[in-house]
Amino acid sequence: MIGVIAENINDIDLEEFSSCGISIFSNSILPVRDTYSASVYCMHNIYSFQGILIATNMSDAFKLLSNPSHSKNVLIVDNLEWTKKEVFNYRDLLKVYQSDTIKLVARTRQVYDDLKNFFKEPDLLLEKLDVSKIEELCNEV
Amino acid sequence: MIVIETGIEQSKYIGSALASCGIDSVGWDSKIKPLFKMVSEQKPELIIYNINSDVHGIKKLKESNPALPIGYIGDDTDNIIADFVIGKSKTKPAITVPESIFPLSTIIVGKEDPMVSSDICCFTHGITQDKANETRELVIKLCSLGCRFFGFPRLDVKNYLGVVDADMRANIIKSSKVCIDLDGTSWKNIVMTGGRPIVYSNSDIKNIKTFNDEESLVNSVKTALEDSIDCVVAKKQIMQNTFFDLCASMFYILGAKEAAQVVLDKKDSYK
Repeated sequence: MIGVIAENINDIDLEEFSSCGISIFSNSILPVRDTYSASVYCMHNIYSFQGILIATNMSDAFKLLSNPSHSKNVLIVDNLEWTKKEVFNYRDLLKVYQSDTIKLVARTRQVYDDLKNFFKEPDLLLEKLDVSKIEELCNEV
Repeated sequence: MIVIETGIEQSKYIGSALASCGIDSVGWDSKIKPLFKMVSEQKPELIIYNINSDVHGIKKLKESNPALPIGYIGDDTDNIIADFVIGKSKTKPAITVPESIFPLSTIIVGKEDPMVSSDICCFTHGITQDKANETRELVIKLCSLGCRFFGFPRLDVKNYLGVVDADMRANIIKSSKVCIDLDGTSWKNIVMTGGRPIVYSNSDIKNIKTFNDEESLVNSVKTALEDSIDCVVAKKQIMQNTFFDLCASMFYILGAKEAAQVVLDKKDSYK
């Protein structure tokens, strides 16, 4: 079972995730039901969730890090988020992009190369969302 | 207790050098606290004042406490009341302050950290936004070489990785093969932190690699990465004139040889 954290529902491609059967953890007000078919839970349910948890940005990745009992964490990176921030701390980037407890997944070759240059080599390049590959990644010993 | 009047750069670095040696010292802002109130509260054993103080107050203090040693930071003039001068003087014991004096006590020696290691790093601390814009082409060239940028002001490139604190800065410098000094003002700091600088400069700096355009930048970086830079000589040169030496001279003038030795021992710990 896989869930995606989205503090702000606009940060994720709702259709893409729901079409893959990925549950959504969010406190946002969701759009009308007919645009997606995913199970939606309140954010606090991540603390009892046993499956794989995905974050798609730094803010949500920090929520993964705040739950040390949960080990199957994935950060899907489709752009270099820090290039859009005005003021940010390098330590925060290190915590997220060099974390031992988060599997790093790049959505493009460019992002893959940049993460490799600035932080660490991503665990996976995944241009199209593929649940089986994410499961395989998290089940690796 | 040594009281050092604040408000000028030298007093900050003298205070920093003394504090790093564990010698009791405190900064005093004469605009906020009157001289005699400060004296009754701190009971100083030495006062080092500067141009910001009222000389008449110092004169009265010296008349009422002739045994209290008083130093003055600045060049001597006829009406200066002081037992010694940190500057130029023809009539009083004087400690000349060289232009190249270095505030060694402000240095944090970096630790190698594989998490932050890279080939080339560069810090924007201290450079103005105008300077950052001016050096835009050099920044782009450095990006193509894989340089990581840190600090404030922010640079609008993906290689800019955010603000860092002093400890992190020191570790990044120590863990990088070379560190670019974009405005030529921080290379001494880089050397003493344990880094290997390549410095923007229109003139040669002894034992240091320099650049002043894209071509010389690329050449300097390439050669520095191929043959590692040895900064031992540069380090020795920087350590010849530090605020530790200035403080030691001050203590020798006052006859406090043990205090002078404590300061010089502390300086040696940076070797």
